[in-house]
Amino acid sequence: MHFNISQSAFNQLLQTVSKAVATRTPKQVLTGILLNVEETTLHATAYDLEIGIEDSLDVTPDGTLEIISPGSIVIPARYLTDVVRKLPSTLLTFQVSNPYMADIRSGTAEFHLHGIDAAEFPKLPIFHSAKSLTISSLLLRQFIRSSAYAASTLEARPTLTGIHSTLHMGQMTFTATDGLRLGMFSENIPENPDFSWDAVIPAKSLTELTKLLPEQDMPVTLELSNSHSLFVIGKTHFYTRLIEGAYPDISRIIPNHFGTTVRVDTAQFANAIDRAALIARDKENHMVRMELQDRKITISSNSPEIGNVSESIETIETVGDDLVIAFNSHYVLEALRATGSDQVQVQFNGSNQPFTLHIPEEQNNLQLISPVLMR
Amino acid sequence: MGQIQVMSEMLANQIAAGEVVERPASCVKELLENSMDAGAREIRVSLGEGGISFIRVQDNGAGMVEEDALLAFARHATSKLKSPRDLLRINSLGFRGEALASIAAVAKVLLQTRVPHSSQGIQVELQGGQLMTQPQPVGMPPGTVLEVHQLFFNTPARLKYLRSVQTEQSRCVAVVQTAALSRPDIRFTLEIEDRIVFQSFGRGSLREVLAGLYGAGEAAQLLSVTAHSPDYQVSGFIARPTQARASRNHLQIFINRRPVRNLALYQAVEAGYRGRLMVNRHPICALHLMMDPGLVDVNIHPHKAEVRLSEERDVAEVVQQSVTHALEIAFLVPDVRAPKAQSLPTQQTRLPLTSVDNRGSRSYQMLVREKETVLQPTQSSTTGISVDKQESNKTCGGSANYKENGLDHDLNLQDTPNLANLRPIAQALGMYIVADDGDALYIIDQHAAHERVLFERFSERLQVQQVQSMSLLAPMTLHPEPILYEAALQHLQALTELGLAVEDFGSQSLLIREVPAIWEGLDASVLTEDLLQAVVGTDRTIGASDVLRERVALQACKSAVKANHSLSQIEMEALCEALAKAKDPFHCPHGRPVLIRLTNRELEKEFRRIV
Repeated sequence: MHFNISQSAFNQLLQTVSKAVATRTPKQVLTGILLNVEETTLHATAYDLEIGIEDSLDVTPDGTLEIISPGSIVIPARYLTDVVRKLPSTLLTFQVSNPYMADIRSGTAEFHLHGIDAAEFPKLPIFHSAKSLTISSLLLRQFIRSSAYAASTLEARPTLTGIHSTLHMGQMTFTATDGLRLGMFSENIPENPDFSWDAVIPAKSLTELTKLLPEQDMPVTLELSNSHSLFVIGKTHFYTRLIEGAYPDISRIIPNHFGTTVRVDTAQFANAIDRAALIARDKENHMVRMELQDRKITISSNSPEIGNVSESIETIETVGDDLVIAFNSHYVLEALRATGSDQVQVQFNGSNQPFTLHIPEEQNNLQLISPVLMR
Repeated sequence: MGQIQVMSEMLANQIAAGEVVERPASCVKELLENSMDAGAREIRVSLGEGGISFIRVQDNGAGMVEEDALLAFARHATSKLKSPRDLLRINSLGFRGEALASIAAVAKVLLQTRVPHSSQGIQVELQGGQLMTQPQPVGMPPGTVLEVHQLFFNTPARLKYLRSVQTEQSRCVAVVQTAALSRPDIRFTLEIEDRIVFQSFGRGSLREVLAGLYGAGEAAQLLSVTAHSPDYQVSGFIARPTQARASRNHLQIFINRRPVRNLALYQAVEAGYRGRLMVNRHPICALHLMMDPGLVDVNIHPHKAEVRLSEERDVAEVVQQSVTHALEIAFLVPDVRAPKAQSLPTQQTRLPLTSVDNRGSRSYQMLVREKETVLQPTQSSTTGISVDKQESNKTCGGSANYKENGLDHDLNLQDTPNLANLRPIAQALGMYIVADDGDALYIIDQHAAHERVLFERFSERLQVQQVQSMSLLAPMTLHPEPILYEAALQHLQALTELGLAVEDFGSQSLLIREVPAIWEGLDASVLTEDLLQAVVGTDRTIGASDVLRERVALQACKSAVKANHSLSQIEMEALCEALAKAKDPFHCPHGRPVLIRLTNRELEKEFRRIV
């Protein structure tokens, strides 16, 4: 195994896959990156058995990559990434001469790193005749951003740590909830495939995936098998395990009529809550009070030890009854961030019922939050 | 012809013996109870081979006339119970009329007994329940001697399952020690292979008995507990949190002088220590509960260790409150003492319940030395108790020394909590505040101290505010263990007060609708189970709110100053001041000590200003 590669291209490749390297594991091979050289392609793979990332580079005439002989080896990721990062930005030579000993040469520097037999590296899941579908990377990012934050972080109910991803009649929906709040996003898929799917994907994996999504729009292919899903972004393959078990039925908990509907400027609303949260910072539930009266919203918070705060903002539109409600400010701020629009529509059913936030005139993005009960 | 036959009496007795006498220790227990019920003031126990080959119990109690001596070995024969009505108000330790019959059925037994007004005693010998000889006259002091030889000689199966001699012996020792704790007014002596291994003085002082068990130094530190309620009376001693042990074996509870095992009461004692003990540490205690015999049912098991209390919750609450009170008024700052090099070469240290105590220092050693000199002359135990007159005089002499040596003085030492004068001097090693109050030097763990201050502030806030709750978007079903399910149904209201709205969902499952709004990332199902577990415990409201308090404690811990955080003089003063105002300034919320004390006297000793 022998190849020459530009330092920046190699560094880029290793950085991409290193997100899937296992950090704490008794199985040493999982802490490494698998380098596999074929006739015209260099593949790099990391797989911690939860997520796996595979990226590759083809031989190009400009000399970024030049393959002399094929082969494969696993090198501990911590050392390989750091070594390559610190090498000068010229061409470097990677060669395995002795079995499992990689020589990396660049300029005057020469590293010899012990490697592990590539045969020990676990095989990535195989997707045979899986269901597949292509969507825009920007849309996928929106799907994840609108739901992932609401997933539970506690392993007590494993399905709730995932995002429920469904495809039905050409409509794709991502839903996540931790029991006290819920984030949901759905959209019609242009291609309108004639199959449906239903899977629970770990929210952590999808958050990791968003880091790989490019800034500019490009198509992403989703594939789904019984146990895994695969996202293909250009040459990068992102694999993740699926969570087993049925996701709870959430259709009944989303209210469909409301007593109060207000429309507010998102930034104004978020800033007022953020400021009120300062006083609620040390409280057990970051509780902030909101009062709606005469088309005006008053956000307030008080702490017997620290002091109090109150701020009023005008609503853009108000329909329905006045009300007083208390909520966890963190929940609402995160939901507003997930909504990501200039204006937001907030709908209530009295003080003690869950309330929703979504982009006005659009029903595809919905955030649902349970208030702190007032007695 | 039918298959069913009535068993021979001997066979029936052997079977019944399995319940009452399962090992030498249970045999010792039964015999001790008989002696105590006979009004003995002094009981001597001798063991051979862990009680397997030989048990001898001698008392100076009421004794028996010849007629009784023979009848005593018949099953269901007793002097302690006369009518069914007596069963409801049992004042004696025994009452079933089974012990002697059972022991006689599985061993070779020699009984010598003399009533005080008779000029001579009588002797009866039995083997496997059969009378071997006719009663013979014998010369002896008043009282009863019962010797059990070759226990289980005719039930090989039982013999086979006995543990090692060492194990059986330590169980027997524990039985005698427990009996001594139950009756500090009786003199107990335990001899093994002609060596005295344990002895109590019978002068009615429970602390004195405890000194024999744990060493005078430890005993002097024990806190006295007393409480009265219309129905119950609690008295005894509990250990300081620093004296905690790793097992529950040192929890001794006596109801009407009977040692009992009762989980609810154990939990009540530990609940009384709430927040003062580290995880998996258990207190030492010897508590006497006196109550109307009608309120306690001991007729549950032949061993009578398990009891049923008709008002268990009430009793537990009284116990818990008395323990908490004793700890609250005590000044729980551990003293720093330089370790003493002397070892204590006595038999005492070998006992399972006894610990080697370096701190016991001089008074303990004196006490032991007294004992040894006193006890040597009467080692051969076949003679009667009359010899002991001399000995008891000597012991009294010994006890005079014992007092002079300051133990009694220590016992009455009044702890006066006073941290108000605490003046910080400096910060040491980046994590301790050195302070003095004019009489002693204190070393304060700044993290633990701050934790305690924050913890009290947080829990106060929790008490002032009602716990707020949030409703789950979708109710959650929970399938708890049946016992938790039942508990939940009984305490729905209490749970709601803690912010947890639970409904019965039928078929052993619960529906959780609302959860307490305390911090994020709350695991509703785990919290619910924790709360339910606490509710099942003895003291429901306090127990359950403890679960929430624990979460508070965690939060307190996170925001407390850490080690290697340098504090200015002003900050240290503020911390000391806040600590002095705390309800329990001595322990952090996890039960670790907050401060330790180095008394002026200890310093003077170390610098050899006083010797």
